[in-house]
Amino acid sequence: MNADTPPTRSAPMPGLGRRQFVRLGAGAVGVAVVGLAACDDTERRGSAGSVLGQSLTTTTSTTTTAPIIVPSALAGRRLVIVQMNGGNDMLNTLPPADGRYRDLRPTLAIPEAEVVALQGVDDAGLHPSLAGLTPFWDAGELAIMRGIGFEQPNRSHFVSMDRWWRADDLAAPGWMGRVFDEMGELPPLYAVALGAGAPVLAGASSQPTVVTRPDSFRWVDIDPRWLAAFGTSGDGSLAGQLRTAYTRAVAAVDEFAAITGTTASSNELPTREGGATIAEGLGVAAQLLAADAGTRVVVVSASGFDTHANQLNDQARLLTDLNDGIVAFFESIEAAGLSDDVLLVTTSEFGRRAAENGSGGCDHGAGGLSFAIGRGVRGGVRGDVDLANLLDGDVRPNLDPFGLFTACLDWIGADVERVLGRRVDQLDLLR
Amino acid sequence: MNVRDEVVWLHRRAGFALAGAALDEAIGRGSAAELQRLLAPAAAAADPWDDALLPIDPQDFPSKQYAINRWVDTMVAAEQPLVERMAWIWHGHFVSALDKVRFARAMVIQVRLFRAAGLGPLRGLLRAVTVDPAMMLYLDLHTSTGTEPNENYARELLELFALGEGNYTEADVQAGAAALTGWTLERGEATVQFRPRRHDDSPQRYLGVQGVHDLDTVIDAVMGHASLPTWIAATLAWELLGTAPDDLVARLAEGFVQSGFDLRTLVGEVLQAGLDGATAPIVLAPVPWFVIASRATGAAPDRRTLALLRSAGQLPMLPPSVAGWPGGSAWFGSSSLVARADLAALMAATAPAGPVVAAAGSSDLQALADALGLPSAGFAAESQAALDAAPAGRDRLAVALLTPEFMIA
Repeated sequence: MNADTPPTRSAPMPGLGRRQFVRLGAGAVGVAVVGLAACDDTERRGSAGSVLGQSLTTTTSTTTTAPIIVPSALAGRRLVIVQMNGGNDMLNTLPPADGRYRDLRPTLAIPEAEVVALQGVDDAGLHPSLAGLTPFWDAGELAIMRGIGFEQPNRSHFVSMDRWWRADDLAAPGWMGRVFDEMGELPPLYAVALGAGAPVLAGASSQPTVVTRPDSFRWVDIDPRWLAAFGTSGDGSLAGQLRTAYTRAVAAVDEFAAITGTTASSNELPTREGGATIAEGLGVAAQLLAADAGTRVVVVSASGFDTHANQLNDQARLLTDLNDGIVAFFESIEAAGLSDDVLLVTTSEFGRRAAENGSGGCDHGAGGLSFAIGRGVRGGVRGDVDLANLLDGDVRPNLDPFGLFTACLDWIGADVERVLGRRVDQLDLLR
Repeated sequence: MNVRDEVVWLHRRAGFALAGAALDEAIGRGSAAELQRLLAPAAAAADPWDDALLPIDPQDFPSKQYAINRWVDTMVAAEQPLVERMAWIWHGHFVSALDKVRFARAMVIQVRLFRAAGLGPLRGLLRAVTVDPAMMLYLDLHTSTGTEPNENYARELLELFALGEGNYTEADVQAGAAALTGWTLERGEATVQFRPRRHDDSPQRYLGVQGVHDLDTVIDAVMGHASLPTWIAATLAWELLGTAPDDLVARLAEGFVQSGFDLRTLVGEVLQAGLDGATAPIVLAPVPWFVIASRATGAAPDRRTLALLRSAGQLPMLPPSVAGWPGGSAWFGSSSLVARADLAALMAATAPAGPVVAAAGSSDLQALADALGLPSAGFAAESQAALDAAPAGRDRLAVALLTPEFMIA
């Protein structure tokens, strides 16, 4: 790495941790691209209006010529991933009807009377802050995956997040980004990360539009044409990536403002601390998905779930945010007539230790929880929580996250085996 | 590299860059002399904060702005460039964040530690940061008791701060958590106390060492672990060189051990390796970029600065996670670039008349690159196209601050 060109390598440097690895940026990771898409441009446009690929790249490999996404009726489908960073506590999100739970959580257990019942489920219910999800449950549009996580858990936030985002191959780009890599030029708002960057959307060559602060996503005293004049550079150097990023930002700001009506920001330091809320992110996501800008995949990130202390208050606030965000999001989606086209899933890098600690919180654990919501979802509970059979004090992972990745990729019609190397149909999430 | 480029490289990595007469003088002294000056500043760093303006009150918002603003001002002044740069680097390594810590005085105390001990012996820094008030609040050590230990700090000490993931076991995390119990913070004060009754003093097996039972034996075991020198050497190589080849890291780690884990020695050897050619491009994060641009243009801070830095994704004292800020091309997100463009326009508009503004008003783009203190190659053709697209003058200066040549060191 002596030149302004990222190295190609097949694994993170031995002995170096995740920070050093991540610092290289997604573009620095060597990727075996199995074959670039030779999609039929006309067919895409025909099926998805004018929103899909404008100038799809030609193939440089002869091993595969099939498109990564099969052009089909699925082209209108939209996916939203909510990343609950920090490790959301599963046991209090979905309190089990099990005396052991109350023994493990003498001060943190959700009182039985407050647990929200799920019709037809007798061994668990929902955290009281998530009562807004019951209509989805009753309609059979909510799947609850309990104990989701990798079989050999790693209790590091950063390793676990990388495993989720890069489909357990820490040297590879994000699993959704791998799809975009093969789709050629995409509309600037095709893939959007809200709240923070989203490694799952970052490919070897493709990058999502990252909007961390929608209220100030506009040019003030810079004429964007000056920045567009940097051009886009095809080389992988950091300088080339920066020039390309300016061009992407110029296009994205333009489209974004037209959709969300961003006009002015105070430019004052907000007095409220903390990042954007999930509800704010999902609000923007709904606007983007409903607009005719070709947005197909959105990741909304929120932090704060690392509740080593003060969990009762903090998690209640965060789950209320999630609950309110999801309810309002699907109201907007329904109003836009997109209910059949939208799948929302939630992720978190791990669950928390079954027993509480002395700080009113829980330390890092293993098996976690995901939700999948939408009209295309096959509702119901997946997986088991067995508090009599813990793994080093943690809920034993029993649902492979690849099952969730498979469902997400299936939803948008991507070639799962080519993206992930294997499909996992254990969850049977989609109708 | 020619002498100018060596000196430019050194000060962009180990300080907050030079421009104008200061750069010319440094070039006159040469890179070897500059490295020694950076490593051995003439005077001790003056403390920029007034505690009277830092009440220990989590609700006091002005003190938070004050704490951050003063730190940014101190980096812009950079009277001891390497001291300030190392404090900034350690802030991104031994992470605490104001949103959880809640009172600015504690964050200031921590930055004072990094400024005072950031180039000293590692053991002292590691011990002090473990029982630093902000760190204890951020990673919950103040609530960890012998009967119910909290693993948060014990884990990040090993994973992020000292050894690296994969170089310890879950049992080590738990043993470390037990041995570090008993440290508390006095309510309403930024003072640390050890309370034996809250401490688990039973001997633990920790990182292969038998009998670890308290703060000092934990730090001794960590300092004695084979992964520590490599981890610290690699961390500083990434921060200062943008690259960390295995053979270089091994050599640096060996020298670090021989020096008795002296950070000044290690940093000196890292920088020398860079001057000898071990270097790769580094994307300047928003804060170092803003500081360097402020120094180059002479633009005074504006009341909008902190809000824009926040929009750019990097407000000092508010890192997003215990791993600090992501780097490299992660800084190329659209929101971040939009905020940087705002900041660049703000700095260009408020820069005082002088050589930089004059050069931006001329058609001589090489003169502009020189005035801004860039390497001798100046602007690449793609950047020249963007600079030509902007009207000569302050608009062009704003674009210059956004070029890859300025933003990537």
